[in-house]
Amino acid sequence: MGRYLFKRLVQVPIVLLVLITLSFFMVRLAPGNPFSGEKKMDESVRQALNAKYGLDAPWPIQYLKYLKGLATLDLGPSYKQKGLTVNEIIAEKAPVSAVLGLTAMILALALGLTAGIISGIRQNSNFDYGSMGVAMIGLSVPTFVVGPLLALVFGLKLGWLPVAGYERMAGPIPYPQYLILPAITLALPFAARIARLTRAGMLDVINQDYIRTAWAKGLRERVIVLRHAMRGAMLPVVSFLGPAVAQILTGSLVVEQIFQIPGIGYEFVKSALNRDYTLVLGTVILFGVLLVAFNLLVDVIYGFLDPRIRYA
Amino acid sequence: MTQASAQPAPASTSEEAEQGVSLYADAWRRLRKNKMAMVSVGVIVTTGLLSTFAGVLAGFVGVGPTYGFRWIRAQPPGFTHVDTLNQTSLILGGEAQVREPYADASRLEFHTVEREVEEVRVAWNRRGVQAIALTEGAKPLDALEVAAGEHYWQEIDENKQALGERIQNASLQVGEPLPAAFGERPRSGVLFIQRVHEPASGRRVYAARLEGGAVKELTQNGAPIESALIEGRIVEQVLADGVPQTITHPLGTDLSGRDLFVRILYGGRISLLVGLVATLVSLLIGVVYGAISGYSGGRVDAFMMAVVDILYGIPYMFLVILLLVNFGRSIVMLFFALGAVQWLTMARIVRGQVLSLKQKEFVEAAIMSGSSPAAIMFKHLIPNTLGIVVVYTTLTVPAVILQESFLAFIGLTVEWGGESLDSWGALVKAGSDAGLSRSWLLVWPSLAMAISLFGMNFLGDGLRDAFDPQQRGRT
Amino acid sequence: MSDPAKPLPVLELDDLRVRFKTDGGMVHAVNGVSFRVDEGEALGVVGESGCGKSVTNMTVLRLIPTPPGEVSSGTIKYRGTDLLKLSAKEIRKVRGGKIAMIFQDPMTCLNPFLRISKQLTEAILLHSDMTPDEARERAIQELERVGIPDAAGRVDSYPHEFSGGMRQRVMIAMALCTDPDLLIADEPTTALDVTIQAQILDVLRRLQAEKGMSLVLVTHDLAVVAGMCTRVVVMYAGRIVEEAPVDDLFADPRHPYTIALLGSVPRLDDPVGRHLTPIEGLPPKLAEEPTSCAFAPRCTYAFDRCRAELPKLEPDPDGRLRACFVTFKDGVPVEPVDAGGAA
Ligand SMILES: Nc1ncnc2c1ncn2[C@@H]1O[C@H](COP(=O)(O)OP(=O)(O)OP(=O)(O)O)[C@@H](O)[C@H]1O
Ligand SMILES: [Mg+2]
Repeated sequence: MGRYLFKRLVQVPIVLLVLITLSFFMVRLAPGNPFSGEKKMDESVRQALNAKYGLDAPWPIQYLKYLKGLATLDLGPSYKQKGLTVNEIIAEKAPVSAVLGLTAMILALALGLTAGIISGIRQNSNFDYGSMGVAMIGLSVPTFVVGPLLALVFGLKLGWLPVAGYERMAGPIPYPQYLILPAITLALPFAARIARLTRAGMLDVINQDYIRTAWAKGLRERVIVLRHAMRGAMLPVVSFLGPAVAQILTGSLVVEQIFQIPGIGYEFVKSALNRDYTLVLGTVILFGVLLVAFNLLVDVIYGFLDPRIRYA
Repeated sequence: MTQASAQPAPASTSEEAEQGVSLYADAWRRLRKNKMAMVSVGVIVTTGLLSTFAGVLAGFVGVGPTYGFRWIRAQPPGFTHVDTLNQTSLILGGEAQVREPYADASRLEFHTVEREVEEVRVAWNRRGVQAIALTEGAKPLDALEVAAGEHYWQEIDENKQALGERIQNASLQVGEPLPAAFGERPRSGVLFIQRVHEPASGRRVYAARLEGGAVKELTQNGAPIESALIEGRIVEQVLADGVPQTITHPLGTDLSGRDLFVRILYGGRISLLVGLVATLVSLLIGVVYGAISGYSGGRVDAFMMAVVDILYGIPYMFLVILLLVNFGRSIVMLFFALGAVQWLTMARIVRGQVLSLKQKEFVEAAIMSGSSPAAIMFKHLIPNTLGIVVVYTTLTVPAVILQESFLAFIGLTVEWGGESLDSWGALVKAGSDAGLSRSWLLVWPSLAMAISLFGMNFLGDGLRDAFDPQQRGRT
Repeated sequence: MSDPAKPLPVLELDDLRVRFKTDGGMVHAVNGVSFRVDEGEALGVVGESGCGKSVTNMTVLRLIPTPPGEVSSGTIKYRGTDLLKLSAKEIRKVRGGKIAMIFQDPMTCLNPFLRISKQLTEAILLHSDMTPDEARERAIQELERVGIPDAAGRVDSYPHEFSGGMRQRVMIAMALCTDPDLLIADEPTTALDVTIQAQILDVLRRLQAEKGMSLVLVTHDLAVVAGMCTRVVVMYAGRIVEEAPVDDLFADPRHPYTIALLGSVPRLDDPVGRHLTPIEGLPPKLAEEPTSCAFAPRCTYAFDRCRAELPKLEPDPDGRLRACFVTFKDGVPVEPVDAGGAA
């Protein structure tokens, strides 16, 4: 376990460096520059702007400077939102996405695990067929179809929940009604995956000899499921949780757009489309760090769950 | 319990197993038993055929995916209207510029009605109607009486899209709430009311005699004329050799009057193309990479897999977005971008397979007998990983389609030669922007997409169960 | 079947039938099995692979998955109460408490995610009123008794830290830590290598004697039966074809299948641990309940009646039970006279 984790830890800076380099040059190599879009700009003004943001230096210098900034966690100024630094924008927007993502993840875990476990231990029951059918729909119907449909039904038709928007209650946390539809939309495909994985894991495990041993001891089904079967069944789910974070992040681009939530995903799309390079880079790096961190966390949890790995 | 479920039912398999049925035949037999998978095969084949023969089907509807009957705008499924161009141009002696279906008729008649439109802008909020103004002429009114009668009033929204309702018997008064005739409206908004009426002299009939597509005779209300430019909007009837010409849109039309059904067919083409080609790209990279890694083993393998591990840690979709934004949205770019996202998993799977196959006797025998590594890889290793590759490929195609549609949804529709190629994702996006009153624009493309993806996912599941019954239900 | 002169048997099966509904049709795994296990006795169950030994024994504790499994008739009496009629709660008391079971493969039968201590104490706590500390003490004692060195130090290990033989010892300790009346051991040594086998059997034999419990030992290995059991039942195609005290069976087998089994197996003086070699022909498919002797197609002595009628398990004049229309003496058919030529 220790050695394994060490190996993963060594990979972290490499992953981040690859990501930063890739996105940095992808942005720099693009034709045009951030200020070329603004038509009526004076050549002298443009030059001044380029100088101000260090865009007149050769790329390698720019790259090194950017890395230096990163080392002090400074992501630089935004090119398009005057007077704001990328750090400030991220600090403002990311918590909103975090609230949404976290809610969705909790929801997805609760839904997915419950459905998956019950389907697994009641294979071929109506519940199993029903929930696996729903899970398949969850996998096949894109978020951007589900979102508008939910908004249409619960927002417009029934009027129970707001169609869109984000009225804050405290800090990044909104009044719950603004969170319900977006969180459900975001959670759905994720819950579907978890349910399928859990069910498969459960099926796998309940056919294991050691579960038969547990029955032969006279334990009740609930104990067998929770104490003996759950851990093994959870392993595939846990490995999925790392990539799932990436999925939830990408999902939130769309969901934030549909429900007009002022989060970092929406901000990313906007900044990519209007070439706010530093902001784009900053967001990509943030996402990368999150992904890496979650993958590591998942590894730790995995080892924690499976003693064979922990002591290997 | 364990032994029981691990063993296949003895009665059904022992005989065939004795005959040594190959893995593939066995898998196929198992797949055929899986009803959902067979239904899915049907769905996929249908989708494939529909999008392959999109051109033929478009021929039945009578219009391609890009032509819009601009004056009809968004209309609900089943909408039928006069089949005419936005502008029909007839010039004596020249080729008739008319709709294809009746281009080789010998006699054409266009019955037109010129209508006058008066537009009134109504804004309201919670407290009542704020202002009523005649838009053309900008004359403010205090009140408006919408009566039933020879003229009709039609509601349109800010984008001048007809809301499909005709208003009768309503009276609007500044400061009063919106009358019930307007149905349930949001608490505030703006709408336009068009008063349409027809002047006595508004009716005209253009008649043309054609020979080989060229206009030989042209009359307006019986009097010969040199040329005519007929706006589609005013045409009430077209007779080609005496037969009225109409066109029906089975799933309605979009905001620019394009046929939704045809657009869904062509959109499916784009989506499937992206799905298949990108998957193929990922397949190629993944299989070769994984096979080399697994076959080489040792340090090479460790290094190659470390690279995969590292690349796994990268949030790809964001890079794809950057790529498309910065370097144009050519479909070829997308093939590679999405293919590059998917190859990692494929590489891992193939490597695992190759590693375990390498231990098998027939491969060892080949190695002993001195076959070249390439021969071993392409003759023995890769063919034997085919089963799992097929399974994973089937699951990758819908995943890629989903990713493309997701990109299209955030506005990154793919292009080819500067023309935007509207995939299902783009259609869904357009539908969700079009709003509640035109829900068919959201519902049908979504349905087409969901059903196809559903089919592909189910087939992938079924294939996995068939190839690997032990792993039944694994994801 | 029970003899009124004898005390109530610990376990008594009567006409047990179990079938499975599978994709390929019905599988009749057990077709009318009856036997009893007396107090303190060790009963051997032998037969070819697939003849229904495990299904029979798992049905005792109702461990057959239903569906696809189904008990279509019969009773399973544990000290007079029919286990098949117990409620889910009552059968849980029997499982592990009164009747314990150990299985073939010690590598997979222990939960890899839980410490040994947890796996042992959960059974003890369930079937006694000990406190967790007492249960832990008990678990350590039990591990010592099955011969795990440094039991106190290793009780908190995970299964993967033990070897196969050690794990089977743990399994035995786990089965015995609740002081069951009856232990069903389903091929407890098949997965182990020969020297370990002998050690495990030693442990079993010793503990059975110490605790005075009854034992059902399922095995492929006739040598094991000879060393451990007092009585044997021989199963074929879901039925019992012969039942006899172990010495009688070896000395004077009275069913063609038993004869074939013994013929295909080394004699008692052969080295320990040799397994049955298969008998000519294949065991029958179990798609239908047998209406004639299931062994007839492979039997050297079968005659017309064997292919038309189902022989019942009935006592010979001297009380030995067997299901065959042919009479044997010293492994040679004596009646009907033409039986020998029927092959
Ligand atoms: N869950 C099940 N579903 C279908 N058939 C089953 C199931 N469990 C057992 N069987 C069938 O019942 C028959 C008896 O199986 P059983 O496991 O009792 O054999 P066995 O005598 O224990 O064999 P072995 O010596 O190999 O352990 C076999 O034909 C088997 O295929
Ligand atoms: Mg068995």
